[in-house]
Amino acid sequence: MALTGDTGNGATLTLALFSGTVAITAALDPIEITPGAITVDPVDVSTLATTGNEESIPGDLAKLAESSASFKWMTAGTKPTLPSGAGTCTITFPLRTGETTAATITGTGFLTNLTPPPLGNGQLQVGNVSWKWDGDTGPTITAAS
Amino acid sequence: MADVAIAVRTYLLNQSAVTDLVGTRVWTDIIPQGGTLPAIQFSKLYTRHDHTLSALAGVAHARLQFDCKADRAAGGRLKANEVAEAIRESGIIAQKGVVADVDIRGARLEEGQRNEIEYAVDGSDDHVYVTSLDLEIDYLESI
Repeated sequence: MALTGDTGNGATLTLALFSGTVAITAALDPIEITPGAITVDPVDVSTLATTGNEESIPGDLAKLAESSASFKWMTAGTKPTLPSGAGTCTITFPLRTGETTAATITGTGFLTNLTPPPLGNGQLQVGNVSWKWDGDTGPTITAAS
Repeated sequence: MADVAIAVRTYLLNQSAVTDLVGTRVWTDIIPQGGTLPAIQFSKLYTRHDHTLSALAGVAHARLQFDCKADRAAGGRLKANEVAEAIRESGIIAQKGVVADVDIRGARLEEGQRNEIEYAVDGSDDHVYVTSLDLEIDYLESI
């Protein structure tokens, strides 16, 4: 059986944001990307006639947790300002052997956090950014092909 | 290709506090057989590389061990200690900038002075006193 699975090496992150009327496209050099969880609250539909187990149905709306990424901080270049308008955010998975188009998670969102790096001896300057999918478009997980 | 160990050697050979004690006797890896003491023998213990998801991040960290050697005729333990102190106070720890084509971004004394003896193998008491210290050097590398 062919071996499958992959690490995160090769993944990319692009945040296309709007600050007022100015579009900011920030292709970051990420060190780690943590997509936020997409969850649905269960709705308890148990009645007095229910026996055995509690009965549930999925809620109507999915909840979108914040996503975050750490990245190599570059002192050149303009950094996004908060609050920022919404824009398209895209996480691209590493391309696996045999694939021609990588899997993606993409949707519209807005920045919720920009943290400049701590400065310490021997430490690579690493910044952090977080964003919230706004639910207007996506987020959509598109399979590789 | 620029090498951080060679760059540090170049730096030390430009410090009179070091050369007043050892002249140009700053050897990589091993002191030649019969070499004059006191002398410095240093080696690269390891190199760590920072990464992003796409490539090397461009910052690396090399740990260098300096063995400062002096036999009794060259001043023994006191002289070996003096050479180690000269390295420590050479300014290398404050160095930030290009040396011998290597852009050094920081240096730290990772392990301070430790003492050893290389016992004479000829049955004499002409032992070699070794005072060692480790520096970790942060530098930029090509990516």
